[in-house]
Amino acid sequence: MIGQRQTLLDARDRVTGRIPYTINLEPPGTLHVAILRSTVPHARLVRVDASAASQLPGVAAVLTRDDFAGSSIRPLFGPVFRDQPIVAMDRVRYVGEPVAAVAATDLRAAEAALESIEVEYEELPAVFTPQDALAAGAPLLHESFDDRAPGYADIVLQGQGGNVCNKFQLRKGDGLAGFELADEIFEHEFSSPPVQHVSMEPHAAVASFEGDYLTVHTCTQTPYAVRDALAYMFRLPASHVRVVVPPVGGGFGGKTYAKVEPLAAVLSKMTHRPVKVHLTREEEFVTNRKHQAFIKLRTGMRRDGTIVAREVQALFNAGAYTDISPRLIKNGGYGAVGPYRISHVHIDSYAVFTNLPSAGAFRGYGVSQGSWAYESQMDMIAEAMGFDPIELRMRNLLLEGDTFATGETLHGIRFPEVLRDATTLFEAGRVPPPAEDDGSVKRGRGCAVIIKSTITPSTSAASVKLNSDGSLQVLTSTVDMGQGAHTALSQIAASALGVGVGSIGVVGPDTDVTPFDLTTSSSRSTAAMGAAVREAVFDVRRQLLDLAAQQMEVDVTDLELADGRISVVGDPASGRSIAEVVTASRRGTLAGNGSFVTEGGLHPETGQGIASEHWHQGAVAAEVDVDVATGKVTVRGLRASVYAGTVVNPINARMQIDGSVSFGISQALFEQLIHDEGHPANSSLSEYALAGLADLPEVFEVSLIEDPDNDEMHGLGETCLPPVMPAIANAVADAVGVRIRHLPLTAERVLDALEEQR
Amino acid sequence: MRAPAAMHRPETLEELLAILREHGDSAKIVAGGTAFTILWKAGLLQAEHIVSATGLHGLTDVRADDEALTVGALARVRDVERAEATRRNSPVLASALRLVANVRVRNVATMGGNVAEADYTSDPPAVLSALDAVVTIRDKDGGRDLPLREFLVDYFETALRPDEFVTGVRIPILAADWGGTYLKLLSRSAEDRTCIGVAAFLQHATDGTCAGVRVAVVGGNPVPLRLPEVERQFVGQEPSMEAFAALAAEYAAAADPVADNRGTASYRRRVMAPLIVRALRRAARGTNDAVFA
Repeated sequence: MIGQRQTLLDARDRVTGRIPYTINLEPPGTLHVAILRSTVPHARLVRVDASAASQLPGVAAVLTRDDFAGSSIRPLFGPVFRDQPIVAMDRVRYVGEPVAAVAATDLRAAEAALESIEVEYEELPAVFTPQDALAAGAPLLHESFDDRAPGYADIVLQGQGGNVCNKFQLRKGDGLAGFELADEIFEHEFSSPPVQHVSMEPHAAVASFEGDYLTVHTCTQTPYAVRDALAYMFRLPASHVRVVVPPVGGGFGGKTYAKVEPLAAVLSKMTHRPVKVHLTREEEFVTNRKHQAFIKLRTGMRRDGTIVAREVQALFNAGAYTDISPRLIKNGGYGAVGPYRISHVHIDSYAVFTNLPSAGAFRGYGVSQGSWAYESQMDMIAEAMGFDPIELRMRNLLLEGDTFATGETLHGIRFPEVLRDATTLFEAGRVPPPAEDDGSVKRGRGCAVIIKSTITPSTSAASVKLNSDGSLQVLTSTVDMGQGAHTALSQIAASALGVGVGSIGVVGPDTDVTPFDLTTSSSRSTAAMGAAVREAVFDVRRQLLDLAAQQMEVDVTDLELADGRISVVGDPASGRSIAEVVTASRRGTLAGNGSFVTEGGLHPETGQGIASEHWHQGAVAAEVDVDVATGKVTVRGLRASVYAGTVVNPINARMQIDGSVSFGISQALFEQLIHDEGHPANSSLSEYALAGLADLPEVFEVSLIEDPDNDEMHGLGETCLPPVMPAIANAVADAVGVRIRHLPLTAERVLDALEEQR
Repeated sequence: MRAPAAMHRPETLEELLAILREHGDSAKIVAGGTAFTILWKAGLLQAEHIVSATGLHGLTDVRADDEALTVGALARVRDVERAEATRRNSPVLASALRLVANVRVRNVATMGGNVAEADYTSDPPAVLSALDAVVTIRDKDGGRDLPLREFLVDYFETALRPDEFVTGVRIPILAADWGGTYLKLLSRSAEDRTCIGVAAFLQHATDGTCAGVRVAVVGGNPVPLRLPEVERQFVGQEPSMEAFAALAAEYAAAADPVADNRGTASYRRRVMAPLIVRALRRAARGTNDAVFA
């Protein structure tokens, strides 16, 4: 039931390893794949010769660009621009890009064959930062932007040219002229490094062509997008491509859109056998990542603490291929305005190609990079102007009925309450004092509050089947990737039908069976798919009551459905069970359908319109210890507050925030992908630092602010991630007076800043 | 690409030593496998023969007599950490072992493997070096004892000959008037490898001065950094902050740190002195423990 503490239905199986993850699938006769990857960041591909490799024992096929010559298979894919080759065609654009792939009877044979593939590169100049990529005379990564994938109504394609992949712009009020109203203007630049999702399950797919019918099992977050990409690639009707998604071991955005599925499918087409691609951890690090970002923020302040104008110049490092960058820089662009009432706004946000692996969706979706800038700067402004940082925020936070930077009117706004709630952490005695007694450890407090959109427009559809025994099956393309989506949907369905969760079964994504869903991402599934499931149950419930009315020869309006029984209002003894009604109807099963559809879009030049059907609101307060001898930052206390609407499952809701906060602490203090001239320098879990349980604060509070008057479920998967990084940086500044504007706040970076300050 | 290697699983020490005599030049020994597996998978180790020591019987004892704690090479780190003999006779070592990696690693990693790997940021060698531990070594014809400080030669390099095998570590027991600590700085996440580790021991004389001091630092040098001459100069001094700082400065000056993803050479040099001071203060108080910095 909605609101009940429900252990995740698959928790035990996940923990004990019984879940049939894609990485564990191996149909009889499966071929295994090893991928030859580029060793240079940018080069013309002079020669790829796989003739020796393909003769080796166990090798069934070697895919190179030559296999596409004269083939009807389209070699490029991508959700916005189809610019990403399955294997390199004329050029390689980053270290780690697939150049060739071997399918063999076992992985060892496939790996051994890689050494027999001869590749000749003619190296080209390479660029690794968006600044260098935009400089005059920079080498170009792409010459044309012809092959646009259809769909995605919210994405405006503009600004292409040079190494600009896409641009988003927004102009509100008088734009830059608004700065004339300011008494003081603050301008700073902030940067975030690229980081990796590090899902416990790496990307994996098993593809199997049978005739002109393709079946792919894959750990994607977007089964329908993958299906459509494969159908286009192989020139098949969508009805001939089936994408099945087993339970997924973590996604965090990194498994949206086609990733390894095209490679598995092409090799299956070549070999007529099932083909499995299963990336190594090292390969994960060059497959997808969070956008590196450089954000210049100019903020105009009135003497009384009112923000009057804001200019955002954002450069997002897209890497070599477009992936979903055009949408991410849009959300990151308007997201960088923050949850503040600002009359005059001017935003230019760019995705820029560089010779690094492609960046894509990542939990927080551009808002982390933006809030890192604006919530850091908020404290810098407060300090410079002599305001309390919490009060300065309170003075400017968006309120019910205000208009956002996009011009849309906001409803259900709780920012002041959310921020106030988070900062209750600072009440005396909540967080124990520093342990070290030699005076070298300083304590500081900081907070941050953020606004985040959800993908709009979007569609989720669901079907349900009510069985003759009264149990209900939910057919959904929402992916359960450990976040507990199927548990939440079960609770929603059970509540809508008035039965226990034990009567509900969930059929997960199978594009031949389960209805359309745009994506399991954007903190949308509980809200969007939940609404669709509820509508589908209501559909079947109506049919059930109509049947009962016929069977009982009463008017349907006289009937009620409660605790699995249908009875005449006021006469419980008249009741019969759901099973009795369905059985008596001789329909076998009753089928119901539901959908949730939102509309929106922004004007290409002004960025005005509807950006989001719902606005996520979250705040974090943090207390940190800074060791001035080592620069080491330890988070001692943290409180995350979120406007949760109706909480479907308190256990799971709390865990979503726990996960968001641990992502945030990890990115605040540790995470960064390091490259040396484009060569990855920390592509292993030994060298890439991630927060562990012991890095979470001993005082760790989560506050789910509910709204009993409003029956609305809010997604909780991301909201409390973006505020963590600036809250920690603000706490560090409070503790020792140094302002770090570049993530992460490594011990060395803090120590350097402390020494500079001395 | 991993080259296939021949796998050997001797059941006795004699068999193992015979294999090493025959193939030692191209062999690697594996016990717990926690370090080996990572390096092997990453292609950083080459060997034609892999000799597994896990089938051997014995070499797992943790015993103490009046003078020393003796640890068999195949004793698991976790077992040594929990052994009554360790906790009673070398509490700083027991505590330091508890801070190594995580319990999954400690459950399989062996003490012999730990010293033989010669990892420059590993924690136990700091404490063992400060305690003047001796490595016991066997080959087919006999054996020798080598102080750990001579056994560890360079980054991931020991004085072990190809046909030799570490059978244990002998750790002298300090008198009761010594106090000590191990201070471990993680510059990144809680399960990361050590950036700088400081083992410090201090002996109080009855007149309040220092009768002895031992300081060993890992992470700032190819092998655990110990400066016996500097330690000797400390004897007879008051255990003051000034004296601690002076000693620490000598260590920082002598350090030859490597840069890695856990800190630049400059960072390691800069944090070393204050960490040594902090460790000495704890040692002077006789905390006899190991803590994160």
